Amino acid sequence: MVAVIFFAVMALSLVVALAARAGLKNKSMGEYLVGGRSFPAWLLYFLAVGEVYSIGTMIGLPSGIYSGGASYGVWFVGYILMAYPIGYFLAPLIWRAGVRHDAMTIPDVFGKHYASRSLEIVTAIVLLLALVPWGQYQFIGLQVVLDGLGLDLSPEASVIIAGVLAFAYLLASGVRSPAFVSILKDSVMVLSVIVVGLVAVAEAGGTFKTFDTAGISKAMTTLSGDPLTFTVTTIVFQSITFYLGFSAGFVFTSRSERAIKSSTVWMPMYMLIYPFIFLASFYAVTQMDGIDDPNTVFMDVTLELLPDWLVGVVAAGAGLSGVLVLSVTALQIGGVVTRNLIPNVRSELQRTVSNVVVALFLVAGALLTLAGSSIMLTVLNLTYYLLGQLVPGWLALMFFRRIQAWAVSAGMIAGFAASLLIYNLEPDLAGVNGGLVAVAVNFLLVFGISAIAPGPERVPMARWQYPHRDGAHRPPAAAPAAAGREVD
Amino acid sequence: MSTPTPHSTPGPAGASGGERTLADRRSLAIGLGVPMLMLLIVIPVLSDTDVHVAGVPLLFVLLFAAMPITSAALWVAWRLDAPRYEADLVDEAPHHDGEGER
Repeated sequence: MVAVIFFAVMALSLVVALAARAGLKNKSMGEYLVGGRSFPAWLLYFLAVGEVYSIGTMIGLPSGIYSGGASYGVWFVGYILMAYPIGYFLAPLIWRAGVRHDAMTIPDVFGKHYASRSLEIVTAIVLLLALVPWGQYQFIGLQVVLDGLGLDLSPEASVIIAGVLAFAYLLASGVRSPAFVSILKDSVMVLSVIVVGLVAVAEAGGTFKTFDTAGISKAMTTLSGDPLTFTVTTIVFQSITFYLGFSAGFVFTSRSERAIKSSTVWMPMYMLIYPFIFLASFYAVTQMDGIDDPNTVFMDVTLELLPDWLVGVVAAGAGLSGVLVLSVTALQIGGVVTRNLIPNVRSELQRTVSNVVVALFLVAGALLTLAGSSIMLTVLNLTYYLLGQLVPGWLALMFFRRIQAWAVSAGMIAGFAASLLIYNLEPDLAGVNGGLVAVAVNFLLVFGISAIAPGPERVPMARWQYPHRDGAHRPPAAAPAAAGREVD
Repeated sequence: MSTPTPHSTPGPAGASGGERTLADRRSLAIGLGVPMLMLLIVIPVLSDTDVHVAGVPLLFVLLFAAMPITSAALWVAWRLDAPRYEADLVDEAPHHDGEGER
């Protein structure tokens, strides 16, 4: 029963994905990657929450709370919450950069703004590598969900099924499909999370019992010392990276700066699902016997408390979020490969290479998942370490005039290397998020080199206004709009 | 290269680099300042306490309260910013590409 409902919802989502593209005449790359820069605020909202609330919300967060206590819960929720106000002010600049440079990917923006092909390639490679742990993150969650279907699948079979599901989505891909599928996914996800949370607190006998601190460590419900430092520095680092590293993809789809800003206002309200996830997680902490693999906490709670058909719905919500994010990520990867790595080869070859790279991405994520058990939120930290290396380049092109292109490349490469070293060697940083340290190295190089040997004068995005048509701000969809003007 | 034309309405100064107005500063102070205060000052300062509210640890109560507070702060910021984005409203209607072709 669990598996039947799970696969029925997944099939329904594929129908929605195909329907979203049916009848669409515009089959251009601009439509495929950035929806022709036409999304209104409401569609932008669903695409954003569709990408943001991945399988980590249902599977990763409970795992983090169960194994790492309050610190993991607070930084996970805190960085997403802090990201929205930052995005409210910075995302319009990202969109404007996309318009100015007719960009559909981040490497497009960097390469054109700094007029450097080598920087474009470095950015593309860093982005592609940074997305591998993000893929792994989704695969771990999907493996947990598929394990919970009661089909007695081997780990290998689970990741293969997850990969096949993601590939099925790719066939119906284009950024418009995930935006509509995310409406279905979010409905199922919100319903699932609320039901599990409420049933958990009812079963425990109220909130006092759910959060009963008698038998648990103080670190489960309070913060101090290094965990507090880690929490605060992680919120700062990941909230900035959230829009500048992750979210340019959905920002580019917007039809205007107004749509970006107005859609951001209510995004924090979606986060009111998190209290229910905390309830389910603490039910596991205080009411259930030891759980061997923390990653399975949410599914274990669900299996213990809910009837089979409802377990199927919950599994579908989680699974859909993982598959949806995998497909959007694969879409971004395809875009980066074709536009930034091999832009000048014939289209058939582009498509072949793009498919190979996407397949490699899926295989790499799957192999890392099988290679060893990792706490999901640790893998999320690594993803942010790596994506955070795009932040100095973004801030430089938004606010500074004379930045050297090769300094941005050097900073990115050094920051990327520092991230991997810190993640693997785990030096004692007194609780400071390792990604913040790595990005500090990156900042030092970008701005240090540019101070000693300034680059040519370039108008930063904060000082650039796009040309308007008939009083409107919007440029032609996904068409060059380089003739802006500087505003002082 | 098309010839840039001047804006018929004041540009979105807070984001696009025009002169910073009082509304910009108030928008920034409320939209960014309030969530930062909540997440980076209030919660860390009160994070090491055994106080519970209706059975829920205070740390989590504050975290959950920060969600509607952040939306409220952004709503106020948007009330201040919206008049400077009125030109974008022209594009809220269906147009020739994207959805308009469906």
